[in-house]
Amino acid sequence: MTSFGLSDDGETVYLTSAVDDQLTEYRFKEDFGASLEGQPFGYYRKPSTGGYNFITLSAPTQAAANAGPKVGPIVISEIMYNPAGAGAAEYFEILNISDSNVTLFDATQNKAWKFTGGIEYEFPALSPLTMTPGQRVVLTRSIPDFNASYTVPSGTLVIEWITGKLSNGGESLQLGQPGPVNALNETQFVRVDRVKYDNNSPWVSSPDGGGPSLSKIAEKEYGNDYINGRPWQESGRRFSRSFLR
Amino acid sequence: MTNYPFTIDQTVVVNEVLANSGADPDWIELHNRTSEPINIGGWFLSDSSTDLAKYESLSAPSSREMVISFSTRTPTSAREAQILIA
Repeated sequence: MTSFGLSDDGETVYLTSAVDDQLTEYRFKEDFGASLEGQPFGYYRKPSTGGYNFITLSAPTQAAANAGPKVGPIVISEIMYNPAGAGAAEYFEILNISDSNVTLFDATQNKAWKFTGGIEYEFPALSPLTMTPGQRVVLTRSIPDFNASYTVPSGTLVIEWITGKLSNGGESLQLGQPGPVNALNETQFVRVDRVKYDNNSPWVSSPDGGGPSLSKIAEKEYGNDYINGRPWQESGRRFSRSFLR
Repeated sequence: MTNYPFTIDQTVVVNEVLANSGADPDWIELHNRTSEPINIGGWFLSDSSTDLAKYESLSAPSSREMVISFSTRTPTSAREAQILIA
């Protein structure tokens, strides 16, 4: 038997009801992106709203309840999209939540990880960045403006992204790693983490105009949810002490 | 193809997909989210918006958990799909 082949680089599947070979009214459509080998997509019910995200799951579960979401190894852990003063001081932080070093570069494809939503930034390829377990890296629109507004713990790497700004009205900030190539031999990026933040309720609005920032509290849990275990809330914690002057 | 009259809480949905399965077959899991049986015999599965009738269900599931096959409507084609009903 030749298997039903789905695209490693993502596609859309459709389920349609029919009677006697004639399509009837029921349709269901699902989109999914590129994936790494063995990583399934599936529905995850967000406890905050009861809504669903179709996302990468931590393990395949044929004919059983879906596993939880795959989280990490790198997550977006803090977002400050509209700081007081210079707007270019805006920043976000990524964190290695795994127990291993993670190099943001795929040597097989000679491609670096990059942000595929929100802002444009591709991590270095000539000198790839390796994040150690627990390491945090800050990305900002302007290092001079950031340094004028915030201080960071000694040794913290601060990177200036290339193009774009964080929307003050909310958007999807998404990190991707090189994945399968498509029919045009173009590398497709697999989502590593995504946060679709908002400046309106139920998300806290404090980052829209000064702060504190959005800070992920449960850093190893699913982050694209405003209240899943309350991972996102006004910072007032780590960064109000270490970043804000 | 953008407005569907059902919500995923009420009907049969594509619940899980393994599209990058290496040497093993890809698969799709459907989930009947209702409390009543839904006969999907003769339903179609497709990865093309312009050919929704690409693969046809060959059997009607008789239980909530089973593997069924989808086949192309062209008898000469060998392509089939394995679908799990969870």
